[in-house]
Amino acid sequence: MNHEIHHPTTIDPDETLSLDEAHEGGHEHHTPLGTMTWVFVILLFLTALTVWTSNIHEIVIGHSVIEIGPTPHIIMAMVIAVIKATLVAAYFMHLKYDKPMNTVVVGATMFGVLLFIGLTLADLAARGSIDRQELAPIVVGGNKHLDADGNRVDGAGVTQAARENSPDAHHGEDHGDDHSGDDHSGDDHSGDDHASDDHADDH
Amino acid sequence: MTSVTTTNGDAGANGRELEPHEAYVPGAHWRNAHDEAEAAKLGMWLFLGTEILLFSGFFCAYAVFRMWYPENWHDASRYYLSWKIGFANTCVLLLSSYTVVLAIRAAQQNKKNWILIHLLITNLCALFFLVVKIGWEYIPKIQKGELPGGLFTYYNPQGEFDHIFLSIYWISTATHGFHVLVGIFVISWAMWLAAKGHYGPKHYTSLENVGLYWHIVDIIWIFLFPLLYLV
Repeated sequence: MNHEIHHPTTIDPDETLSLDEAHEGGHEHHTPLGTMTWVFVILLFLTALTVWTSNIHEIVIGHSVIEIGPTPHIIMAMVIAVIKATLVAAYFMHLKYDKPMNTVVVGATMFGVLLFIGLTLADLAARGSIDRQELAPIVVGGNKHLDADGNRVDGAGVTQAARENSPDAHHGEDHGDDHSGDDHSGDDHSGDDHASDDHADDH
Repeated sequence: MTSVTTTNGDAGANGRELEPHEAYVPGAHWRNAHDEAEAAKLGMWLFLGTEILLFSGFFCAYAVFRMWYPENWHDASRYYLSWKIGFANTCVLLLSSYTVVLAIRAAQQNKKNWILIHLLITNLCALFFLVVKIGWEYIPKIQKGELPGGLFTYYNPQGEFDHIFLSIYWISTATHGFHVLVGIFVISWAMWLAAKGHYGPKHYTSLENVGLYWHIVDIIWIFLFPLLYLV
C-alpha cells in the first residue's frame, strides 16, 4: 500500500499528517488471518464444550457418584460464555489492538451491568431474611391469588424466609398470612406491624 | 481540502479514475483520517454499550426468576427448547462473525470482490439464523400455545411458572432477532458501499463499525444460548 502514497489526492498543506507515510491511513493494524482463524476454531470448540458439559448430570469417581445440579451447570455455562465473549471482543472486535479507550467503555458498561443485576439479586434474595416481606405469587392473568370462589388464598404470597422470621412467632398475634393484592415490588412493611394489621383486617 | 481530484493524470497510475476510497478525505475538523476512524469507532463502542445495557434488562429478569424458581426454570428450558437448534444457530453466528473479520481483512488488502463474498456469506448466515428461529421455533411455539405470560395456553405445562420462562425467552430472542434483521440491512448497505468501491486499505471505517455491530449481536447470542437452551 505504500506506493499509493504518491497519489496527490489532496494538495491541502494542512493534510500533511494524513499523508505522512507512517500514519497514512485511518487504520494501521492489519487483521492477522492465522490468529483470527484460531479464535474462530476455539469459539466453535467452546460452543461444543458448553453443550457437552450441560449434559453431564453426574460424575463417577470410583464407587462414589457426584450429582451435578442445575446451579453448577449454569455457572459452568456462564464461565464458558464469558471466555467466548472475551475472545470475540478482544480479537474479532479488535479491542486487543485498539486504543484502550474502547476497552474502558466496555469495562464501564460491564460495571453498570454488574451493579444492575448484582444489586437487584442482592435485594430480592435478602428480602424476608432481614425484615418480614411479602412475595405475591405470580399467576397467569395477574397476581390476584384468589381461588375459584373469589376468596383470598390463605398463606399465599409470603416467602418461606418471611414466615420463619415473622414477628408473629414472637408476638403471638395472628396477623394472618393472607395479605392480598400486594405485589412484591414496592411495599415496604419493614417490620411495621401496623401496616400488616391494616391488610389483615380487610377481609 | 476541497481540491480532491477524482481523475488525476499526475498520480502515476495511468490516469485512471481514483476509487472513492482512494479519493476519500477526512472531515475538515479532523487532524487526519486516523483520528477520524478512531473517533467513529469510539462512538460505535458507546452505542454498543447501550445495546449491552438494553439486553442486560432481560438478563436481569432472567436472573431474578432463575433465583426464585430454579427447578421450574431447568424443566422449562429442557422441555421447550432444543439445544440442537440453539447449537446450530450459535455455530452459524460464529461463522458469520468470522466472515466479517475476513471482509475487513479483504478491505485492508484492497480485494473488493472478497469483501463482497465474505459479507454475502455473513448475510446468508444471518438469514439462516432467522429462518431457523422463525420456522423451527417461533411458528411451532405459536401453534402449540407456548407463549409468554397470559397468552400461555400449552396443554402440558412443566411447572407453575412456564409462562414466565417463555416470556423471557420470547422477549430476549425476539429483540435479538430484530437486531439480526437490522444487521442484514446494515451489512447489505456495507455491501453496496463495497461494490461502489468505498472500502480500501486506507478507508473502511463504516465497514468496521458494521462489523462491530454484528459482533455484539453475536456476543449477546453467546450468552442467550446457554442461558435459555442449556440450563
